Amino acid sequence: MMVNIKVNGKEYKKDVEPRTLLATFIRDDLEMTGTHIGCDTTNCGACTVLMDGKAVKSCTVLAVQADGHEVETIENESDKELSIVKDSFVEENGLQCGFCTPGMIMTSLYMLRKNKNPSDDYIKSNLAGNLCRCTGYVSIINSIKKASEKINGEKVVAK
Amino acid sequence: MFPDKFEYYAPKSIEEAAKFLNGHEDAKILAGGQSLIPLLKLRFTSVPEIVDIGRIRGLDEIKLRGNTLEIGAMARTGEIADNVSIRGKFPVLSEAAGHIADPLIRNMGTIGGDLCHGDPANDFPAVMLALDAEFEISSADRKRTVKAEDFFLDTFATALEPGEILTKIKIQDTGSSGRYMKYKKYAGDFSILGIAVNLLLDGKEVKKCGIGLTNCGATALKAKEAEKFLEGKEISDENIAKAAELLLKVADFMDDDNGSVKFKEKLLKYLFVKAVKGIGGVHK
Repeated sequence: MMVNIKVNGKEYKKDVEPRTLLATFIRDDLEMTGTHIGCDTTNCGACTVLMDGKAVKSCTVLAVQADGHEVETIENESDKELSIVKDSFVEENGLQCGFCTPGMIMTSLYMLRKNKNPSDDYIKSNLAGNLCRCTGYVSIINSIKKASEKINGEKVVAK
Repeated sequence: MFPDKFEYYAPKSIEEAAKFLNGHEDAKILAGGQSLIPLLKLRFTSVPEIVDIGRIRGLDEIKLRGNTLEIGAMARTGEIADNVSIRGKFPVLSEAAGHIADPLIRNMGTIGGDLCHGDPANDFPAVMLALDAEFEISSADRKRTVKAEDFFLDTFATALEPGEILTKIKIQDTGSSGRYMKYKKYAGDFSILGIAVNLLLDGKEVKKCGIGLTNCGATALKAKEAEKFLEGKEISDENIAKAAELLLKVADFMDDDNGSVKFKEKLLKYLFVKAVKGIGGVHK
């Protein structure tokens, strides 16, 4: 069936099978491979995208459910805050192998839009749906805190 | 992984959905999909038709009408967790919502889906039992209301009949307060055990008591004996301990990967005491 999904500000009209997952729609139909599929079982969060501004696991959403909705992915270059979060992950080494990173960054963007000054506890509870098997999360939390400082325009204070 | 092929239907109204379900007995309702889509992907199940009720306007509303809280079946778990009036008047409900899966799943998952799935490890059913919620159900030819305690029948089995749709959850505000305690292995996991306790207090005296248990049997359980025991009594360490023992009469535990029966019994009593003592007013 035909779906009309706005991805990163651009409308895409495609004919998909109803069983197509949003993650595969983004990766295969739109050829945006920044969104990763990790576990494919709703656990790891590597496939996280924002749908109508809310972080969701795109491996567990049907493309037809997203019909008429707005999706943001890691490729959304027009979003300034997303760029800040990306830079902060690089600066604070918030990744090692990088596989979980697109999901980590989209969840980070989501939580920073809700809360500009997240505490460690807030960050940890909001990262509950994103798994990283490399970093032990400390550098990820630092990356998010750095991003929040930058977004707030505050001077970055070294720990 | 992909689900098996299915036909997709997205009605715009309850009436339209009910009409479709009337002629398609094997069709499955899709709410948020956070349980159904993984089951379809893993091919634990396959369905010929999916009826997506996510496009029915107003089905996700959360409203406080007088003393009645009305939650549409499509209300997202995350919205329930964050809703200010629910947090103020039904703390047991927002606390449980905040413990369900993880924030990403809560953004898609719905209360209606959680309840109708019938998984004994889902958290909302126990809260509904503790709050004596009522469910509004629609089908092509009738509407009916079912009490939470008559809704959960067995593992993956509810009182919903073919063709029926859960549309609304109604909960009365009696001035009570409660807690939900959940024990899980890791962030985002299902409950090993969970317990919802809701008390209406008059000073130290319990006027009304509601207790629901998660993952303590084939389905969510209402601990009626413990409820009755506490009603009319004073909150004291002795009475709490006695009520905790009564919980074990309804719980139907098995040794499994989550632990032994002995461990679960101890854990259930511990969580119950923690819940009761954590309710605002109990320590006053």
